[in-house]
Amino acid sequence: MSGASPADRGHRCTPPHAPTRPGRFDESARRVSWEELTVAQVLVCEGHLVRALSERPRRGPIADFEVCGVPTEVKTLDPGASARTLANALLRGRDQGDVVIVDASRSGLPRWSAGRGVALFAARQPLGRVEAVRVLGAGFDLRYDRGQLARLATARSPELGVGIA
Amino acid sequence: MTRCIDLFIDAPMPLGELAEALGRLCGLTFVGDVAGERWTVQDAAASAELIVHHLHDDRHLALETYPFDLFAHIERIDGVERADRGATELLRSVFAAVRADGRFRALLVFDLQHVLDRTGSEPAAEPS
Repeated sequence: MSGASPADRGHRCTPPHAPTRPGRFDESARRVSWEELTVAQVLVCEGHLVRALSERPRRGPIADFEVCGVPTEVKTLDPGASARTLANALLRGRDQGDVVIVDASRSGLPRWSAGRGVALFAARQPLGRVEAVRVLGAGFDLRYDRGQLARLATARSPELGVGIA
Repeated sequence: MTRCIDLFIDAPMPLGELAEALGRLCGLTFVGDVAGERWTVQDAAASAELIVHHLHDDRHLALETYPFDLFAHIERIDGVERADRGATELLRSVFAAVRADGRFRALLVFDLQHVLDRTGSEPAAEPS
């Protein structure tokens, strides 16, 4: 696992919070994996309060993090991932968190393919509990709210995605 | 990051009948929800759910040729996934029973990205 910082990997740190408010990471309930830590670093850099959630053995999955109080699921794509790999990751995560963040930064997934993957996901209704989706890639950061996902679902073709760089 | 393990099954029967058939094969009890759309099975260490899945074919994974998905999430303990215990053992035991029975095609997949095992020959997925 590379120790590269989020900035090294091309992710912008654009804090939605006041600049004077530092982000914070609380790992007291559960020590996270390296993959989760990578995403947590991005979120903390943006000023979010990130809390790792503990397991509930045999009681079904829960989100990995609470991010400023919002249950957030993290998925990581392995090298060679396709748009469909991303779509399947989102389909699997749609009942695990209000926000699903997919770290595709080491997968080699290009931006256009990430957009297509989100569109493929949105086309397979229902969206579950997902209120927002974010895809962190090598040099891109795509974000979609539920309204955008719903519009993607009704678009003529799932081949084209929209996103916010 | 919750990893998962999936056993995709191709069987010429409705979901509820497959749940009963798997229960007989494995000596386990599948319990259906009210709608009969989700069947849960538990052993001593883990639980899994049987559903009709809506996942996409992906590269070497011809998932859409397997209508049914028995899946489990792998629990994490201090960042270490218990990949060789619990959910994995449960799914592997069901896979072994399906393979021994020989009636159904099955595909065992880790984290929706890596094939662990399969029965028989596998049709190729369409390019993505």
